[in-house]
Amino acid sequence: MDFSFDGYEEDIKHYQDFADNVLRPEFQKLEEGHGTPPEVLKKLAEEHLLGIPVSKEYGGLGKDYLSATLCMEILSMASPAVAGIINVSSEIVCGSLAKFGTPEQKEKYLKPLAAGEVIGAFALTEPSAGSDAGGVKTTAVPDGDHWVLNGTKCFITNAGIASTFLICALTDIGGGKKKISMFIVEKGFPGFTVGKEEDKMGMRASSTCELILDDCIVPKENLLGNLGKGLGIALGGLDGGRVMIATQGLGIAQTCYNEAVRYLKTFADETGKSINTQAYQFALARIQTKIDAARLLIYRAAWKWSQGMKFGREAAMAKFYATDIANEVTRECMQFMGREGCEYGSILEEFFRDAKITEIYEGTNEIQLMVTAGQLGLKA
Amino acid sequence: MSTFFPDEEQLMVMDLARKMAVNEVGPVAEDTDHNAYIHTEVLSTIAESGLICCMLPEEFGGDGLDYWNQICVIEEIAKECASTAWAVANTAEAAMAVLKYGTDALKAKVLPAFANAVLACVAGNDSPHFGRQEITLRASKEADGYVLNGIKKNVPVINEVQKFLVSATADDGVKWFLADRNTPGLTICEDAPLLGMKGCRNGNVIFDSCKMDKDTLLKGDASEYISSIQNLNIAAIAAGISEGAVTIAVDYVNQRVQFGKRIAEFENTQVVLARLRARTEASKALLWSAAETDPDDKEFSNIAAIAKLETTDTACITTRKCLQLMGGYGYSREYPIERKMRDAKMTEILAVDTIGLEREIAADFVVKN
Repeated sequence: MDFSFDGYEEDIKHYQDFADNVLRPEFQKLEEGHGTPPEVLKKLAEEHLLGIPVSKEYGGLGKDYLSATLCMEILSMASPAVAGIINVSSEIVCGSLAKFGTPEQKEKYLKPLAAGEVIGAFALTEPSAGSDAGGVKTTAVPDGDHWVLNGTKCFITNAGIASTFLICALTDIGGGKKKISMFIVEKGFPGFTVGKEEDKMGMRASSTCELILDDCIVPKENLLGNLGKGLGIALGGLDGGRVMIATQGLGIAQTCYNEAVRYLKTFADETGKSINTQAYQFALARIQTKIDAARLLIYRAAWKWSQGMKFGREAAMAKFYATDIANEVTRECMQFMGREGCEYGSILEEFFRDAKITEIYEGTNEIQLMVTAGQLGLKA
Repeated sequence: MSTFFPDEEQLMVMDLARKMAVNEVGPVAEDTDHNAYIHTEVLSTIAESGLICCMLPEEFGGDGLDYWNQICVIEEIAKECASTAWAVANTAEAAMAVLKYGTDALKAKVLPAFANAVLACVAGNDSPHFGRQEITLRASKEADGYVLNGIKKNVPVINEVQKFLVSATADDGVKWFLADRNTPGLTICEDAPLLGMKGCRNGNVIFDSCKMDKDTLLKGDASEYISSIQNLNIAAIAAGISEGAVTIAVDYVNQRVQFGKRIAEFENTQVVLARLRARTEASKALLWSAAETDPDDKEFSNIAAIAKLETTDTACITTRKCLQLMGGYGYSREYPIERKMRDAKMTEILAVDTIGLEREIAADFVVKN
């Protein structure tokens, strides 16, 4: 691949302007409350950042996945939580609808999502189905002209602000067999409730809730893709999601490095004491090397993704490594910054808490190692 | 250094401390973190068993136990709540400094109060860069004592303590004073909250021509002693956090079922926890051997620095990996593990930070004269 990113200059500038002009000034506000300030969501829509990879035909930006990855990197550097909102709505929900939706479904659901008029959420995880995604217990039973869904989903990103939900539920596929199917559920469907907000360690600018489906009525035509093929849709979307979460970790790590260097320079300027001693120099050199290694793994995966090649192994490796070092780097950079680094609401303090979820969601890093080992042919 | 293994008397203290921690501190740990205050009523209850300053001689309200026991009390409390442990550690540390460097009048006046859980804290470093020692508070000598002027920064447990043990620079070097909260001219300002150990709010204490009676002055320069005790107290907190985290994770992996079996049965879970157990035991061994060293021994400060460096690193690694085993639930504030991960990071920053410790340790043995 080519690292000059020829042809991406305008995209990069677009994303960078958004990060600098919209996200950075709102940093404190983003940290304080649950959910995202409505004005930030409005601006995301205005800048078409909620439909980056969606074709122009459906109101998206029509960018490739490498561009979407660059967006994730740049926005994560300013607000990992907001970048995460985009990832779910734009890449995962829009991506699945674009790939598997009927023309009617695309018209009805993909267009408003890509335009940013509404936000999407994706619900696979359940209290007893975390890493074991196949352990889903939510059921969907046909009844006349609709489906009836029952079950509980948990840790659903965007749940509190979303209007369109993709929900995985078990369906009877004949012969007594049950398989997961995917349904498009609107917030207002009867029997559908968004539960309480999770009180999380970090990522507090993004909403995470439970979903309760209590005899939820879903129209027949809202089955996405084929019956029994929901897990494939979910896991297929996960490869891309993994590249995105890897990139979220990358953005977090790069900002922490930048902050530490800025702090050390200011400290030296103010006190006249050079802090660029070997202990710091070597530590920072090591940190930036790891960040760049993560970046290269991510770009490789994103490039293959954009080329339409298989990239499951590359995505898993990138996700494991980038989020692993993001946690190392936040911890180490905070160490350089004394009180400023650990003050509640400071960038380092927030990113330290944000970083931890990146090695958990979109498949824990243990799952990434399982996937990678499988891809390497290391069978049990 | 005699042995790593506690004798019978030490085991009794440990048992009592554990019971107190589990029954009294555990139930308020989440509230302590979330609402950012120390449950002083809990510390009063613990004081009734004589544990808050158990290393004080009996004449001053203590149990006449050695420092190892004090470390053990801090460690046991930290398994449940690092903030509460830090409040106890500060009080015990002030008590030890007064016991060693205070006048008889000061000892008689304040030590029994400390043993009764009247809280104190220690504030030496005014630098915002925790690892760099800097004292900006000034002490000027007067006929019958000193006058303090300036700001003492990084003062822990600021809302609950009655006494501040503070360092100040005088014409003839660094002096330590035990300042009462109600000293005329003394003002207390809370600082922004921090990442972890949120129960102990930090802040600044402003001294505006505060007259300090000569009895409040510690004799000699207690700086190295205080710094070493602080390092080891934090090492005890870090070791406690690690042990507490492993316990929580082991409980979780034995209950959580994925792929049709408890996650405790996955080899990765076992390997990860085995390694964490090994590191946690190593932490404890280092901590206990340091705590058995006489604080007057010239090796003490070096051993305390080594213990802090290692136990705090272990606490950061352990809490992160234990949270990982708990997945999304671990990331939720409904479980105590995310608090422990935040608290662990603070142990690495407070007192002398990592690079400061590495320099201290290296200075002691790397470059030969």
